[in-house]
Amino acid sequence: MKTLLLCDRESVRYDGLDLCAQTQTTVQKAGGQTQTIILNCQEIKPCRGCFHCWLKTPGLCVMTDDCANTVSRQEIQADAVILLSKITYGGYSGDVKAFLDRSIPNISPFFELVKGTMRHRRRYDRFPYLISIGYDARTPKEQQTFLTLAERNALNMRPPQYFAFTMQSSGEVEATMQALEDILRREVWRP
Amino acid sequence: MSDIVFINGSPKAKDSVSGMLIDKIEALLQAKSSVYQAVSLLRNENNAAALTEILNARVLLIVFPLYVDSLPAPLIRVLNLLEEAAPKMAGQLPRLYGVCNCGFFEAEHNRLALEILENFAHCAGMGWGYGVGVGGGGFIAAQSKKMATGGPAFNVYSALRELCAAIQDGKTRQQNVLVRPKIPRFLYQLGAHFGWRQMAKKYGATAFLQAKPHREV
Ligand SMILES: Cc1cc2nc3c(=O)[nH]c(=O)nc-3n(C[C@H](O)[C@H](O)[C@H](O)COP(=O)(O)O)c2cc1C
Repeated sequence: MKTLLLCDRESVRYDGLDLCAQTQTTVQKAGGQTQTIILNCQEIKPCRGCFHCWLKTPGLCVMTDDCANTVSRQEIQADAVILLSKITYGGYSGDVKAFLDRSIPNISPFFELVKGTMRHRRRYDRFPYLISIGYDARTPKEQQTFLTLAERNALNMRPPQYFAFTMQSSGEVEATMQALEDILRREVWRP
Repeated sequence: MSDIVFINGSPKAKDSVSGMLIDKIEALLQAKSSVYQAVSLLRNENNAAALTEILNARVLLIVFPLYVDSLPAPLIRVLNLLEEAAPKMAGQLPRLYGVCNCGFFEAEHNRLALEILENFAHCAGMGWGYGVGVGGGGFIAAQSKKMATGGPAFNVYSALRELCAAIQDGKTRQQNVLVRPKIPRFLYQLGAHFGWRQMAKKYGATAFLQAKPHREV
């Protein structure tokens, strides 16, 4: 089972812990292979909102001098994607969001109605399982915002299932890693 | 010092819906104001003076598009910079208002992005005015000229007018305002799909719109 782990730069030194390495170890313990990418918003150019990835070179971003198209490819070819992000006002950090904005070539420009509201159609017939892990929330409200965001993202990307975890302190890392291992074994790798 | 400072969170250099909404709001407010582009603030390493001007204003109004159910990445980074700079300010921080527009028809989609902006205000120690979430962004761009006097986007304009009145009177709201142009959803979808196809035709890409370049062979 191929797992793509996308993390932000801060995740390797969260309160003295390397959360990125711990997540990687957890996935391997659960029997998955991981590919880990540390995203850096200084290197990933901001999406410029031109929609050429939908209408000119469908499925590919026209900015080709950074890693975004490669990571989008790895996303589609993975069985599961884990987004490891510092909770930033309840959303993803700048590093993780820089890639998410550039990943829209992976969906279709066309709309359809899902549960009564407008969504994009899929480009690919399958999208990997989506797992969002948010750390360093400052308030319970931020945790709630992050969980709702993961739910909304899943409505657009349409993974078979999505999972989201939040942490307010490094004391919660161990329990979160245990929960991650459980869902990988029970839900994601299940035959 | 400006009374009101805008940040345009759209990464588009021109013709953004956010820019159009800022023009409308500026005209309604008739106050001295400055507009900063989020992407330019990041590009310019000497942005300390700009950040100071933003943090010294009475009102900060952030106008932005919805990107993947939340804020565009460059805007998140600008919020990080503002939060970092805020404790160094001597006076009172501005009160924050937000306007988010999205490509989907329903205004609902903007709710979470406005919540993120409100969470930011609390982290940075700013007061929160309220937010306006605008659905059907693709349609209101075309209504720019008429929306002040009537037509299906008049209610969007009215929501901006109420926002300006609230800003001028220093008023806040408990709830955000969600508004979309008054057209049927199927018509909006039809128009959007027609627009996509026209653009694809211009690029000779009509036949490849559903291309799957990353599918494993
Ligand atoms: C990377 C990207 C992500 C987007 N994500 C969403 C979304 O999640 N929901 C939505 O309704 N519209 C989404 N849109 C559409 C924009 O919100 C819409 O086109 C908006 O009108 C752009 O405003 P602007 O011209 O001010 O940049 C997205 C557009 C881009 C380029």
